[in-house]
Amino acid sequence: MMYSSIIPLLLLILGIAVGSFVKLQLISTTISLLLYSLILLIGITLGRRKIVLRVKDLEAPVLTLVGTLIPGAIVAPIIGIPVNVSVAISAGFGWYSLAGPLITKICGAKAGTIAFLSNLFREAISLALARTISEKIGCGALVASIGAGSMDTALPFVAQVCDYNWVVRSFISGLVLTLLAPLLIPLLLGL
Amino acid sequence: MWDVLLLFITGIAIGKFLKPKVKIEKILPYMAYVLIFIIGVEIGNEGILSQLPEILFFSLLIAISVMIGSIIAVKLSRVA
Repeated sequence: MMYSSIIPLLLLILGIAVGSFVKLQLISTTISLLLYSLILLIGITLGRRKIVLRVKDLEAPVLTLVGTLIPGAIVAPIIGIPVNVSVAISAGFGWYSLAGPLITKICGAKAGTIAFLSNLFREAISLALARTISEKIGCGALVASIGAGSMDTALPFVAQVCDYNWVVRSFISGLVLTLLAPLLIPLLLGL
Repeated sequence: MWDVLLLFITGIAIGKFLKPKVKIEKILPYMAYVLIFIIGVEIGNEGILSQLPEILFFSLLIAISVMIGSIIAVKLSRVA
């Protein structure tokens, strides 16, 4: 597992250990405040970027969107959670630091933990298999598999195994999915 | 639900029109780390630790399904 994925996993385990022994007050309020601040700051960060999108560049994120949400709906009966919650978990597109807290706030700790871990696993497994996926299937498959992380944490990995064209498309795909995740998750949970 | 959407859109508008000079990108990972730790505390508080094997299985199932789904979608469209 990649270094960037280990820190959040360790922090989650540490938090669970602390929470198992110490009952802390105002946890939900703290989560809400931090989450609201995080979402506002993410919005500001995205708003500052100057990006020109071409229709061709939207191909990869749209396919990733379809390829992510349909399996999210298919696995819902196996997991035993409502379809909209399962699809919302998938709609994190690998952005575990957003999907986990957001779904915890709206649906509770169990669904939030699944959201956090499934999105973390998506990024970690994609990065661990980056070379294999790009060589055996193609760079489009790698970018789609990574999801939202293809614009930041995973970009160096894409650059390592794919050509420059794919680095640009990877960034744009990640950007589009990063814009979509905070919009789609609350909308899906509101269904 | 609407509070999250409203905050996100407000943030984009602030970023686009006011362009604050603060280096937010450096703060974000640390805020996310604190949030993840606190979520861990809440999970511990709620005592769902006994369900961890089930949660791990479900998480892996979703992760692998959406990865395969995304790869298939791209392959079918010949973007790869």
